[in-house]
Amino acid sequence: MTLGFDDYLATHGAALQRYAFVLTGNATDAEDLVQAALVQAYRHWRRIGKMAAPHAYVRRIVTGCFVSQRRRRAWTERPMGTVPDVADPVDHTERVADLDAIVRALDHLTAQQRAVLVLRHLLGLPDGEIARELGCSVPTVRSHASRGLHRLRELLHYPDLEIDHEPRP
Amino acid sequence: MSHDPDHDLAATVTAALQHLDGRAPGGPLDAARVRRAVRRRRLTIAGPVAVVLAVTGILAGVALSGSRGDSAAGPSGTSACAPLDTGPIPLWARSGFTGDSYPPFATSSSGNLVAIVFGDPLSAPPADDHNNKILWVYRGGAPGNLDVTAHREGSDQVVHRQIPAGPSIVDMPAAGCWVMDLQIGDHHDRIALRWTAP
Repeated sequence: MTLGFDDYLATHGAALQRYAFVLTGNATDAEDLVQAALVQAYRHWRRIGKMAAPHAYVRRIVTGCFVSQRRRRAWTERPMGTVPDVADPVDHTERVADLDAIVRALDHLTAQQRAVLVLRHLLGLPDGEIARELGCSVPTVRSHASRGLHRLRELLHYPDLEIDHEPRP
Repeated sequence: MSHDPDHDLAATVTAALQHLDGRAPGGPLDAARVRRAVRRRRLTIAGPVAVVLAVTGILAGVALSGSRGDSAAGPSGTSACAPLDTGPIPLWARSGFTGDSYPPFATSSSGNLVAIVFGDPLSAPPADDHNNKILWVYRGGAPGNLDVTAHREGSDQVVHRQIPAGPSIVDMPAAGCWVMDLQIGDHHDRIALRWTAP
């Protein structure tokens, strides 16, 4: 049975938009990312629509577009600034500030590190599936996850740290 | 029980991602917009191929001149000019707009430039009741001048223009589909717009 493109958007469009938003952190880039991925998907929809799990495949296209777009833009974007103070990461009264700080810090990870954290910690995918999604090995996934968390820890525990490097692709 | 900082951080990351997930904008996705973009890209690819085929045809002695003239159709019978997009303007190009209605627009082949057509339909010669005003919005910010080399599809007519950033009135010498090669600083791009006879 073939799933129509319009039916796919009606059933999975919202999830796709949310995923793109969590990856990019802003609505503008998320919209562009979804559009770019859907254009790719639409060209091969005859095949994708017959897949057992078309959404997983389209999500994989979104992930691929995200990584490649960040790679292309890396030379033009040089985020500068500091991560806001975090009073105490385990102090629940500061939860909102913590979330805000982490959301900001996520912007300073590489595309692969961020994608791995989103796929692992938000979608709960196993490393093997993440590796397939990113087209890399399981040890590489674990390396991205470890380095991503390490980078976040650096940024959050040393709030005065200057972030003057550009994200690595 | 021992305190595991890695576990704490992972849990906080999960909470932050869930927080972001909850803030994601919704709204239905527009399948028609995707189809338009696919069609536009196919035509953008088809355009240069058509030119190559036409040149090959000329070299082989095929008389194409009879098919030239005021027709906007390209040598292959297709045109690089897709209908203007009447959907929402991309968010990055929308900052100057208020409300939910937008003029029609065309997107460049790279997707980094939009031509928002206030003077729809563009007319050659200019129409009496409106001018050919176009707002050029470049994703990379204020582009300065756009150096434009435009050729009219299906003819040898070529026009060179320097168009200032922002809104400008762009009159073309003849009706037809104009394929415009644009140089914006170091960025090269291509966009196709149709001027019609009023």
